[in-house]
Amino acid sequence: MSTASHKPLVLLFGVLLFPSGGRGAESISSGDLQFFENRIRPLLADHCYKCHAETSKKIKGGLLLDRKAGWVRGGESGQVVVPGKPEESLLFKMAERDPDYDPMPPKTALSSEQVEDLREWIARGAPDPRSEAVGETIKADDEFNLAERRKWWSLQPVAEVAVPAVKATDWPANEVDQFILAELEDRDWTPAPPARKEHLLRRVSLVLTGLAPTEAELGDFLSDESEGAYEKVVDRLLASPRFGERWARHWMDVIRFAETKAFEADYTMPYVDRYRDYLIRAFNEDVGYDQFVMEALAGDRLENPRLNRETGTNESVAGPGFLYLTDGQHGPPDIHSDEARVFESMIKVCGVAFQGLTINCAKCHDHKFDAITAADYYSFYGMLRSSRLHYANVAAPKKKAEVRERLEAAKQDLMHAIFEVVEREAQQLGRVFAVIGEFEKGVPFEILQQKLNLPLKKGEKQEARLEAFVRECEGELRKRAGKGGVDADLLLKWFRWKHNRNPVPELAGLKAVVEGRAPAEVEALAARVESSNEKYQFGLQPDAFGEWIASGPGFESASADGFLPALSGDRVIRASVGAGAATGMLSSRLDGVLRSPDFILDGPVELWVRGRHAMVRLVVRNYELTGRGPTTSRLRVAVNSDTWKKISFGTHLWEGEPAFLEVQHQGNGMECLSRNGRPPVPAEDAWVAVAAGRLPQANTLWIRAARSEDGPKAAALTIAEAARVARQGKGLGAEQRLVLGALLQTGLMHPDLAKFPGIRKKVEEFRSIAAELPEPVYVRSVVDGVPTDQPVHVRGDHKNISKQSNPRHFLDGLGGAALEDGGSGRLDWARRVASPENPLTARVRVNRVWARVFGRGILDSVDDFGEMGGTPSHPELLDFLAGSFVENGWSTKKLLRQLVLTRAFQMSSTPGRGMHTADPENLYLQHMPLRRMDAESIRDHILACSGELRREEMYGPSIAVNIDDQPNSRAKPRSGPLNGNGRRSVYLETRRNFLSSFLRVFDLPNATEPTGQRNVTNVPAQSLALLNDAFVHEQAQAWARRVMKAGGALDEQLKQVHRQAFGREATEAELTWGRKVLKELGGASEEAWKSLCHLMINRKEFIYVF
Amino acid sequence: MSSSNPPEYAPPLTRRHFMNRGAMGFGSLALADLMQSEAGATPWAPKPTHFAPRAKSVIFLYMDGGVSQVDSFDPKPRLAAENGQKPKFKVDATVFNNNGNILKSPWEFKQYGESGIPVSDLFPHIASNADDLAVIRSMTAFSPNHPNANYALHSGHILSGRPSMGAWASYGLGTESEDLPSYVVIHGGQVPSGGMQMFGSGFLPATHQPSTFATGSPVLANIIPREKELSYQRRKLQLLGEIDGSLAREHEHAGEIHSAILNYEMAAKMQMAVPGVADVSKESAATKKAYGLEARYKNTRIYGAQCLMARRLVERGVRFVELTINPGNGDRWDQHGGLKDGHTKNALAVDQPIGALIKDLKGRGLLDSTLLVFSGEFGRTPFAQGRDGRDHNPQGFSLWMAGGGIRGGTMYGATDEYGYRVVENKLTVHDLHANMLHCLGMNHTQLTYRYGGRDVRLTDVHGEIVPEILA
Repeated sequence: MSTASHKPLVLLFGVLLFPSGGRGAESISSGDLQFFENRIRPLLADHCYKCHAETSKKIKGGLLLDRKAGWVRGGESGQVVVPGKPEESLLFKMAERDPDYDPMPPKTALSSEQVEDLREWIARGAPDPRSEAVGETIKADDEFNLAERRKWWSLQPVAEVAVPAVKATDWPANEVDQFILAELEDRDWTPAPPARKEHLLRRVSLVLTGLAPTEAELGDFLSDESEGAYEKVVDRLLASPRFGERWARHWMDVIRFAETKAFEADYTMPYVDRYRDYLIRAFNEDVGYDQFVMEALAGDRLENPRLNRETGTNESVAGPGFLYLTDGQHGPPDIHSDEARVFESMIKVCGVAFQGLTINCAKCHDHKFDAITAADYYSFYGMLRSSRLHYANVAAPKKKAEVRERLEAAKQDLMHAIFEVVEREAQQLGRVFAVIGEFEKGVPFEILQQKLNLPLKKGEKQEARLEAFVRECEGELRKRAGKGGVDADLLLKWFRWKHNRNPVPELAGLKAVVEGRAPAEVEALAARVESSNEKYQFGLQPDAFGEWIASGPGFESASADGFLPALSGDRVIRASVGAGAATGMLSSRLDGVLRSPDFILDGPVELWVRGRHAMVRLVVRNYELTGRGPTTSRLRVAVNSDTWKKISFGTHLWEGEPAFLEVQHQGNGMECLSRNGRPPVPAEDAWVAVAAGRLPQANTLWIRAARSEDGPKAAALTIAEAARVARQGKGLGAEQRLVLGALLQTGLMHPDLAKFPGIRKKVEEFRSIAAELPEPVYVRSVVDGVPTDQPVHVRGDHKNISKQSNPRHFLDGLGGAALEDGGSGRLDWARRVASPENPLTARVRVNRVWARVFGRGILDSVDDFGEMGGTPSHPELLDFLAGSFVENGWSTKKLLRQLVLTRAFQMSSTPGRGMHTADPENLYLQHMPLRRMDAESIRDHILACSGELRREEMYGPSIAVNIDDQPNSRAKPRSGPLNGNGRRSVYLETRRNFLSSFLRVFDLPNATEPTGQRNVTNVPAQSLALLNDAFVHEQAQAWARRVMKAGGALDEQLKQVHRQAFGREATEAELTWGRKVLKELGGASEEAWKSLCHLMINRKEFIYVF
Repeated sequence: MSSSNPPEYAPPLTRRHFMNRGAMGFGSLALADLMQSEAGATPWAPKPTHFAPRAKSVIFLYMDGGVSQVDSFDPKPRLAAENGQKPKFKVDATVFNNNGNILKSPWEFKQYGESGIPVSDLFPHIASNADDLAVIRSMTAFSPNHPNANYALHSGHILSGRPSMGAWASYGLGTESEDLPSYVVIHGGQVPSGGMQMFGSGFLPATHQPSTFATGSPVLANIIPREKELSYQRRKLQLLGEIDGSLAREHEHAGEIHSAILNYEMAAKMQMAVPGVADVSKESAATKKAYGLEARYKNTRIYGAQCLMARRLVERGVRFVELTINPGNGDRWDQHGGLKDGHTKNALAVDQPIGALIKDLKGRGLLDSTLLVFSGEFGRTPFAQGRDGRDHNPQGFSLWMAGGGIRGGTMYGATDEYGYRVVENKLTVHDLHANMLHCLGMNHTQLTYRYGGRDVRLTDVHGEIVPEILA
């Protein structure tokens, strides 16, 4: 998109477009003039000029009402007066305090007489004698000059920089050191001496893995006097699985990771833990950051997704899982404003995380400081409108495709064999009907039948009565079958069916024919067919999806197959579809979601569905929490029926809003859950079929039969014909498919597997291939819906949408190119971020990593590379790092290796003389900063010391947080174990309303705002937590037992405790102190040891890193 | 963090005299003096105001759920006249969309005091202080949903995660107490819709998180030592001080470590002070009775204890105290049905204690320096939900303020003749916050914190001072 094309948004109101003056008073009738002077001018002066006159302190909304030209031109909200049409005039609607508009004047309403005066004035054509021009008195409050804004340093290409020369050439370990040292030498400062080996080990272990070194690791390092000892440690740490846990957690801060929706009910989002695991694997595998970005923004659209090396699952699809980790509320009265709120969170996160830009600040206006337009904000909004939340089945795609192929062949083979049998049986069917007819003419039958039709006694079942009836007739029937030369079992089946009161609907017509009813009666049955609103068909046909969008491999149109195989038991087929689109025709494990295009709600929405463990949602404005709360619970319908049901969504609350329909196989796992809910295991018998409009009916087949001379015989031939066509594998009509499906499903024409070992073998083979399909594994993701542009919301107001189009484009500050990926635009947006040409991506990333390593960013504000973020302390170093990062394949591990191997990182944390005043913030890194461990490291380290840390255990559902200390509420879930099962903190559940108080007190972010850099506070609540928290006491006790169990001499025990706590040997003074502590606090009792361990945790060195 | 924010993270080291004390004995050092003599060195030290404050402390009486304005402070005779009729005005979509007919108030209104402020029979005790109240009848909320409106009432923003007014007050003013936190939420037992984070410090430093006091025991998380004997813990602390003292000497440059050591001093003091200040048992029998501590209704006793605790806290210099209401049989003020029963019970719980609190503060000369605010997150509809409830109404509701900086006996603003929408002097939570800060001596446009690339305010870019309600 060109710059010029949306400039008018800003300048629209700053240019004189309208003639003014000239036609002044003389064109107004004297009556009108009087009316204006007496009624309108005083009204405007008294109630409007405060904010809408040249003399106003601040002209609000860019609107002047102190001159005709002012209202003629309008304000930021557009035209305010439509002469002659008060009801279309914003000025009037606001003055009238129509609840759909902002009230004006804002504080106090006009009197009803004044409102009437305004109405009349506008109705008169808004006569206004005031002839002042708008002039140049109004300027947009802050001129937005994109060209100027683009000059900001961070938007310039990453420069190729020369590595500076230094005097102390023996100091630098690599180029990074040269940049640091050059700055220090410029100021005549000398870098701090190397840190103690123990301090360095603890520092680097915490930076890279978040865990302090174990005693063994300490011993290894101290005893390794080789030159490469430190490098060896670095490589060990980078290769450790603990690395991914640490660095995933950092990223989780940035994307405001949480597992619940906050607000009133704090609903649980399913499968969030799998996103966390995805991150951990990605960091451990050192996925290139460019690839990581592609996955995060468009992992669902990558042509060659990254597959998990061990399981073959699709990793990339999980990338966008963070987008919908927003908060959310049920029953929003204004669903449009709710969408705007939810999208704002996504836009904010994406802007901050990938570009270090506060795109969200351009929600109401172009950015106050940066080269970000409101069009940029709503362009991103458009991408989100064009995308839909999706739970993707990532189970090994290659395996699925390979098995599917075999499965299709096996099924074809199987169906062929089955229909051969059906056809053969059907050929007997004419005679079967005849024999039954003969039998029923006999006298005993009538008596029996009368008995069958007597009213049921209490507790008596119709089925039981029917069985008894069939048994009584069985002997005679078998005899007659023998005589007539037909299969007796087949005959009995049909006899039973004929006398069953509830035949399946597809066979109702057949029954009428066999009973010998008149053709008119059969036709009457057909006429009673219900049909649904065809409006929501969107081209969905028996042989095509039309505009519906299928995600996942499961959906096929019914005409492609239509028969649902049973995966166990004696049935081969358990159901059939007949029309529409359906899953389950090969296996429940080939699943999917079918979504309609967007439409505007204007009346009830109807659909036909059938299936098991499925769900249909009406998704209004991407609203996620359907099924929850008073107003949206009915937007979600569970599907659990083998026969077609019509569902109808009432939409009166959502009229005029865009929506789409979503049909989910495996529906019950795909929703936000209550406080103690867990996503259910995927059902093995899930399937779903969906159709709209008139459903195909088998009745025309039966009408034809009824009209022929021998109805039952003709019906039998109809069935045989259908079976023949089916056996040949093509040309089967929808009605025929329905009939065959019903016959197989009910078992009426089902081959008896005991009689046909060949078919049994085929069934077993089909089933064993099906079992090879990998079970579904769902992750949170998104898919593209219908590409939609979003015009700007004027002043951020979703009720005031600009009439100017806003094609989706990349950030204007970075060129504003149109997004051309044929879909939502996310893929193209991602490509432009993950490009080496993007000036921000690599800079933002290396700066984040730098900040984690050195305590603060080269640019201090790691989340804001805009004007308010300031400038970097070492701009050339930043560019050098960004450049080499890209050269090194965007490898985070290589970058980290480069950083921790610097001499700078290995410096002592003791500042040089005078440095406190010379460089109080240590901007130039004369020494390493002293740092406090973050919340997770503190907790993990306590567990490590006590011996309860299960450091090898990775992944899986989160561990509930212990919330015994938190007040009760309706959303409060079950409390978890005090020690979190010994799992690392990254595996603790992140419930927005119930975060761990212990972690919170040490500055765990609130899981709502993207946080690139945590606060590091130093408050008494932390002392209270370490002194009195139940977890700390429990762990101190465990630690004491661990020490006592290890045994040994007292001093050796004390040394051990110090190594465990501080990663170094105890000093003599500390041993003395330790002995004193034990002596004063109870000898060598467990209580004394517990107190000693408790004090170790409370010693400052426990949580500070030198 | 940007340099425009105060240095709360790592107090610079200028404490050589502290270093030279050698092994520190907890409780033996007059560290509070030390802290106060280095203004700015600790986050709790009192900070200068922008102008002379009228109030030093705030007690925010948060009426969770939304009190009905037309049943409390905003009488509308027309509701009685049109009771049972279909509303003649345009009705907005409500949360439950089960809108019924006009519902008259089940309560009578009387005029109280010299000012003649009308108050319904729900609140006789509060009403008896009418001449101290400034009743605002033109409040509006930003959302008809509890969580959003709760977040907005507390932080000016409908999103969660923003700093609350209490955190801002703590950030802006610090505390005058040496051994108590600056910002306390006294929790009645029910978490308001939206979670406890609505009281939180958001992106402000965690220093300004509220301490959540309960009326039961323990009054504050981790405030009770787990050691069997206090003397045992004291000995532990002394031993800790010895060894940390040598660390501090070794790392003379490390201000963070010294601050952390000081925090233990403060923590130890809080351990002593907090249970004491929370213990209302030593109050006089008359006081206890006045506050409703002996009332028959359990919720009155709980809320009475909360109010009494609030007084004791502001007496000790705590800056901002907020009270939540306790779970009644009537489920806070959110009467979608059973208006009469629910509002009656809730009023029974809070009216007497609040009435007593105002009088008690006055009697002790504290009302002039304490700002009281009584507000829900929104009001309720003048028409019924179902048969006998009222739905949420963000278009107009009432609150009152009293005490330091407030002109008593004032009525401000008006809703339409049904009490549905504001028609005169519309106020938003931004205005409320601006005026609260004003009473505390703070200019709301100048109380800022650099976050996300801008200087963020409690009042965003809004908020106006209302001279009519200010003394």
